[in-house]
Amino acid sequence: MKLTQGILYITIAVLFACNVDNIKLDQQDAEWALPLVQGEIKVSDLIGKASSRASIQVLPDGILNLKYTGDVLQKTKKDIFFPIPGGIPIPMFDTVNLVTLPIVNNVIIKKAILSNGNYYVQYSHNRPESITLRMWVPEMSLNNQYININLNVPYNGTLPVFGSSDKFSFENILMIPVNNRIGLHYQATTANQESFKMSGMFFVYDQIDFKYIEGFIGQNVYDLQKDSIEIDLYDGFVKGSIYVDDPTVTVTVNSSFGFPTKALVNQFDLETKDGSLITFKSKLLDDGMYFNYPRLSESGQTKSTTFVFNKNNSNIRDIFNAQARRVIYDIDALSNPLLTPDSTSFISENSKFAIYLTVDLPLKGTVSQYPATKTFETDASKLKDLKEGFMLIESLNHIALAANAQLYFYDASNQIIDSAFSSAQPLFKAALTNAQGISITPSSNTLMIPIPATKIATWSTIKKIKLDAVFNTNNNNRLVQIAEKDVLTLKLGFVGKFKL
Amino acid sequence: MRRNPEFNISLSILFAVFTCTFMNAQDISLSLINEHQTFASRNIAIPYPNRNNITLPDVSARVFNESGSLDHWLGNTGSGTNTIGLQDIWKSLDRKDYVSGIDWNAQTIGFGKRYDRFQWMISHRIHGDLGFLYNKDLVGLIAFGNYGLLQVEPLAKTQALDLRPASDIFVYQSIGVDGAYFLNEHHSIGGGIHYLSGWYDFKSDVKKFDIDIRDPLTINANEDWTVRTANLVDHLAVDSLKINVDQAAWGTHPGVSFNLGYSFHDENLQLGAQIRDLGMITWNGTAYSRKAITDYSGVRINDILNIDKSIFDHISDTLKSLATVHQSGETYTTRLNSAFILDGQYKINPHWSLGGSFLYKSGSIKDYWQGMLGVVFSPVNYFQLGIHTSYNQYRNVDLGLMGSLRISIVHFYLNLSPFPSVWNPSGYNRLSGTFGMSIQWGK
Repeated sequence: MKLTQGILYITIAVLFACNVDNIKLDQQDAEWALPLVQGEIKVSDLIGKASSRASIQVLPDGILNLKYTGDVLQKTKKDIFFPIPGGIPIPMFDTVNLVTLPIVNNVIIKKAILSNGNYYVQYSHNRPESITLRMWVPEMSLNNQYININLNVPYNGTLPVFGSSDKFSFENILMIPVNNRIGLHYQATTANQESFKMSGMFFVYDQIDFKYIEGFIGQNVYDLQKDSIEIDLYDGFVKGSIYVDDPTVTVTVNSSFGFPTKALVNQFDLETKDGSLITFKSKLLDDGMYFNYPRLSESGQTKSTTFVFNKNNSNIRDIFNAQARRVIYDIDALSNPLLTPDSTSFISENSKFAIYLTVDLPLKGTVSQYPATKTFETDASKLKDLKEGFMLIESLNHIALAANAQLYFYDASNQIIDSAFSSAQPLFKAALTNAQGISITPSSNTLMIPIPATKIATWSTIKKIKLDAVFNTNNNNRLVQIAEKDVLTLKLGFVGKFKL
Repeated sequence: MRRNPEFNISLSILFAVFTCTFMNAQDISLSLINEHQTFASRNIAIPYPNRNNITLPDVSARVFNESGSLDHWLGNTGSGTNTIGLQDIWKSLDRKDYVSGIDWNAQTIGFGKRYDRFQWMISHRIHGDLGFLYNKDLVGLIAFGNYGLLQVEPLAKTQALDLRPASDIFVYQSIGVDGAYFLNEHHSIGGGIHYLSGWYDFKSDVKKFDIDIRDPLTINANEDWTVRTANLVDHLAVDSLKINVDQAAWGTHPGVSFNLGYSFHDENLQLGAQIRDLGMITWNGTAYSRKAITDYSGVRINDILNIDKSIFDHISDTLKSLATVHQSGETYTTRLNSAFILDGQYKINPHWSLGGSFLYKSGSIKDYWQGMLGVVFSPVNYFQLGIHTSYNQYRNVDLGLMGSLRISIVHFYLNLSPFPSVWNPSGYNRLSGTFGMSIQWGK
């Protein structure tokens, strides 16, 4: 460009040198545009910066969805079913002793696989001879053979004779009580094959734990931790708001426990920006939230139950658009809520009960003064060479939101030295939407920020520019949808008359 | 976008260097007084009127601008400064190529002698030639800037602008000898050879220079150009131009030229043909070139909210890389703009004669032709006055005046075309003329 300019100047100089003493090229009104940057603001970036706690998803129809996810609340088998403590010997007063199993954790065991424990027997007698001692439990077996302890007890000249067996593991022992009882049997025999009762005989175990339990499980309340989800979508609003048309709260329960469960909702509230609490109301809560569970034949599987609270079955839309800041929930689980008699349930070693709570805010609604602020560093010292001109901002907006903006200028000492406008000006025009509120036609806008000659010196000291923008839907509060494809393209440049 | 400050200095130097009068480099009108004067562009085959000839300064020049008169271009600020209003010029232009040019020839001095069968003359000359091709878009771009032109030129909003400027500037001096041999009483032939020494040269070779400004914040340019220059440009880049008129030493840029001529003459009729300035100059200069397709829309960033100072630093670096012009030393040769001239004069009586001539001159920008007819009145043998009309390739019909005066052995001659009714040279888009003097004695 300057090449041609230079050539033309040479020509003009030569052509007119002969005639005129003082010639000056009249280029006072030549305006040159210098592109600075071209970029874009994806709506996902814009939303993401304002709602850092949320993950942004793209729904099947392309609409963006802010998803806030709570912590996982869960109970495992270890949390709700504790091992039966041992240590106290079970006396065997006769050669056959029927022992009723204790009802621990409100469970009547019909079948169990044991683990994590050891057992042995202690004995004493007053016969001055060697004997053999056998102890067995028909209800407890390992590899289809009930447990059986055989001991040879020698006489060493001292009475009474006492001792104990080695310790044996409960690991993988199948226990099938009969009427909730197991039988502890023993037989003491002399060398002459004479059976007799031991003067003392005890069955000892350190603890009994279970890999698997099958039986009747009564009503237990499993206490899950109280939790909350922070919603930061509204944090940036000084005034104005965002109206979400169809917010949802989803409660998902995964259970691999083999017994029915019902939610006990102690608290399900929403805290607004001003600190007040609004209680969720829903027919789902009124009806009771029963969770699916695997049946006996489905042992090892996990069953899922999902409850979706939406505008059709709850007051969620109203309370969310009151500028929710936090969802507070305290949900416990009640086993066998209907107390079905003679039911058979199961608990396996890996059984788990988990509750997931998510808040989904699909970006369809209306926006009033949604704020976006950005401060960026720059160096405007080159403006000194400008005679007069303006900063040109061209936008092509695919987002169905318009924005007013103000630019504040800071000097090196971080002091505001000027602003682009006396008040915020329309910077971005909203894209046109169809009847569903989906952006279909982008809107372009050109904004020229004058740089008056009198302010060039001041503006050339700019070191920071702070952009304050507020976005609005401007279709008479008609609902709009914010989609992933929506993007705002910006071009910035200087346009002006430069010093010759 | 900013002007190199040194450019203005260079511009001033150019004014000084090119300060000149309105003369005609190839002033064919003077052929009407071939019989009596020994002006520089005279057909070398025509016998000199006197045996001894000394030519004193003889300056001819032609100024031409296709797109309008100087009055159209100039504006007065009222403070004594005339401004060239490019925006007004732009408005007056049609969508086509325009030519502007100036060429001038100054014969500083010459010594010649005529014998019975031949004649010769040794002379020193300085010659300058400048041509420039431009169009409306080029003027508009400079007058309004890329953004300003977009506001006033609808075409700029729809398509790339083909600027393709062309320029050719050169100045050289020469010293040489011309001679003629008189075949008989009516026929003579002539020839000459001159050694040339170039002073400075600027020649553009623009194959492509498109610029697309339809989006003011996007620059799309397609460039393929080379500028070869010697002793005129110190530095050339896309955004700056530094001119230094540094007159080259004798012999730095050597060249040679030839002149050929033929003349028929009897008591009342004289016919002639000549070819002048057949030759070339070899320049030891510099080539500036750029071949690039530029697509610049500012620095692209994915998230404009994250713009920071480093982005602006990157912009500066990017602009520098976009403006890179390749520079290399180069020895190149340019041809002179040769002229072919036919002329004829018929003496009606001792006081009146008729004449005509035709010029065809090659040009690096555009060739040029012109035809002229005239009549000369000689009331006394020491004074002649002529009037002539000419027609050129640009369909200009001009009326000119010429004359000569002899005081003792000193001759003065002058020609001006077109001849203004009021002295207002700025009112014309073309001016040509010659002024010179000589000393001649001995029959």
